[in-house]
Amino acid sequence: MTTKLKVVHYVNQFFAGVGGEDKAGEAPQVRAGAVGPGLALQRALGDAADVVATVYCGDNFFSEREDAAAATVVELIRRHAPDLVVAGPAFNAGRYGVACGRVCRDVEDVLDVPAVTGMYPDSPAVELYRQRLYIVPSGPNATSTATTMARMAALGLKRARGERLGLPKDEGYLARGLRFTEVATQTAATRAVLMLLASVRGEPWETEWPLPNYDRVPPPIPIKDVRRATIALVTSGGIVPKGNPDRLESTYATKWAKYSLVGVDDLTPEGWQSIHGGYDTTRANEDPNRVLPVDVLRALEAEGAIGRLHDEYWVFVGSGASTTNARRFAGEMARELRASSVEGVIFTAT
Amino acid sequence: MRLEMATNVVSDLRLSDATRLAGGVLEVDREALRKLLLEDDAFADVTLDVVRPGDSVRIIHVMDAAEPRWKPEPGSTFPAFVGPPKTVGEGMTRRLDGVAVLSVSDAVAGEPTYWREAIVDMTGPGADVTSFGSTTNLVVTFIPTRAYRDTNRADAVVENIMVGSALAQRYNRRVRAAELKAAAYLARAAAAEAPDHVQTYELGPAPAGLPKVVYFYQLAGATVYGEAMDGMLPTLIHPNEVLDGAVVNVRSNVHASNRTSTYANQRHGIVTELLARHGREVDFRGVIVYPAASDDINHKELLAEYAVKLARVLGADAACASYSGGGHPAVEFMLICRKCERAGIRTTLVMPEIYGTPDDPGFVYFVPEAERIVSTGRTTQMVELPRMQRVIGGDAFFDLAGSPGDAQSVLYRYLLGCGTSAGNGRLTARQY
Repeated sequence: MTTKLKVVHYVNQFFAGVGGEDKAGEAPQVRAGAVGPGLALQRALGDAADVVATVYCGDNFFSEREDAAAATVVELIRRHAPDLVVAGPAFNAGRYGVACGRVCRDVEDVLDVPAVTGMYPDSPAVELYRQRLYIVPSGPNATSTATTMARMAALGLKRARGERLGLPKDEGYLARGLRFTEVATQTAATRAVLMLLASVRGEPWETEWPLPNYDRVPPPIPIKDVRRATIALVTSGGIVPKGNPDRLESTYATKWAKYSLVGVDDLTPEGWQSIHGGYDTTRANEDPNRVLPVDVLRALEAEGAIGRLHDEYWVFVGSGASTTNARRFAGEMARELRASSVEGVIFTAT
Repeated sequence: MRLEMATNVVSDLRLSDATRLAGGVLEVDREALRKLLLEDDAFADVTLDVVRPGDSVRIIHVMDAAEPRWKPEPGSTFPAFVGPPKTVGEGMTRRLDGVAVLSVSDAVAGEPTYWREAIVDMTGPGADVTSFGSTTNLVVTFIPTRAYRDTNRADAVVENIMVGSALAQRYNRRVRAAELKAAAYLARAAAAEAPDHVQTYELGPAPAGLPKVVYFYQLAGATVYGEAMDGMLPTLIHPNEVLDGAVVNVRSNVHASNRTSTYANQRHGIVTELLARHGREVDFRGVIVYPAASDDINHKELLAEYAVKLARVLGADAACASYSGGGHPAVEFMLICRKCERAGIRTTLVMPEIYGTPDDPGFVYFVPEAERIVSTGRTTQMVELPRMQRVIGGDAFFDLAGSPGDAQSVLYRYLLGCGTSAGNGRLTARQY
């Protein structure tokens, strides 16, 4: 006979039965066994698993000191050596949802224990955590507790047993947006023509590759006086010092670099090169200024058209770089740019 | 135009001292074929190997593949490469089913190799996802002459790193010419035999009311009747021409997964599918071919505008479009989708997925009109290939570590043709 799995349930102070807003400052604590919605969880788990403990934390306590609160919650969970952690469901609650997401993420990352949570699909925490976690969609409020718990329990048990999960619509979790290659029963050509015919006939069809929602970046306020402004160069064109000292990747980039332009008036082919793997770099290597126009900016600097060229430039390779990595690069570079005296950036792509 | 594809099914291929087809067994005169291929002074030597489905064999450095075909007079077999300059797609074509000719060679002077590696496994998961794991293959390994390996020649200079030196481009063409010569030589052996079956391809009159469909075919590294398409405006060809040897792959520096080999053109998935449904479910109006990777936005706009204009001239109200892969080609491909939808032409897109990580939404460029997409798989996912007893094609990969015969964890992108946007394969990607 297989041993029963151990589950720890995470809830907020309200669902732990401690109190409402007046108790939102409560620090993390533990109760033995199932509490509140945990009873529905236990029913859904049946004989397969026991809710051995319930860990809870006040909504304000968690949101005001998230790192410390999460560390304490994870430590309380660790003591029970669970096979699975279930958080929430948080429904459409803002602070509680973020706490459930953070707890699940840390449980998986720090304790290497699978976690499952439940949230209303439009709640803010879903945007934060859907790519990282298995989130079961719930209704906006606690009237959907029983059905949500049943799905969370089924999904959680599968994960605790290390079983392979099927498609989101079959398993009842929100698509994480992770794409994996598989072998279909029909050729791509057959699938394409059938999809076209269905669409023409007004029958239902489903795309195999949903379009993403990219961020819209609002244009910044114009620079007041470019003649006094410090301008920086940033490029995705892969211009690096000859020899590529930091071994930037030619494609599928995982990192970026920055290099000094102090004393550099012109990028010579002897000193600089492009290591980009996605375009013909012959012309760029003949004259690297074609991609990173240091020569022109020095001329503009000399004639007073710009204040000055910043002392460093930032570089990465766009070729096949994932948008996840690119978003990280952008955040890291933007933080450095904002911490400097730079007022404007010329970004050259290829 | 009426094309009669007369097929002989080949159950086995053997190298011997005479060339003949009998009882489904094709015997090939090894020395006669070698002599024929060595007529081209680009090659110092050629070696021939036969590999069968299930063999513990890995073929590396594959450049292209072709299905054996031969067109009797007055037809032309592989015009511009083997036969005289005539158009194809009508009359009789002799075809051998179950066999492919694979061309293999090391790189020559000034030949880019960063996308050149292409692997064909005859057993295991690699064999399951490509056509060439289930055909009996005649592998022709070409050894270039010293002249083609001379890096000091003026024409060995790399002018463009995507296509390589003029010398390398010429060598790629000569390998194709030789490969197609071998393919024609094999199929000609069937001429004395009655075909096992004859399939007719024809765009006869279609009943009114069927969707009028065109296929937008984005060509990367391919020629049409030997002509490179670069810089040309989109043009119209008959689907039979695609199947009958008009479209030949000439560039090896293309991700192997997305490389649409000559073989994949001869058995083009989308073209075959639409032809098979012509007159019953669709009114197939034609194939619009256009070159990938224009790098000028005005030219991209013009390409797309012109391609969609051709579709409108043909009266199309529905379309399939395939994406060759790569960065630049995504733009004109998506512009065609947008312009079609705005012209009332419903489109379905067939696309390989080429981005790096599973959490990437995956588009180089897209338009909101791209509502119907069929994926030919995320080719940057790893696949585990088992150890093979024998390796053909070289002692080392171009850009993969380790010994080629060992068990390998490689990206799907190294497997020849597994994700071609011609739609021949069964790979897809699903969102989890």
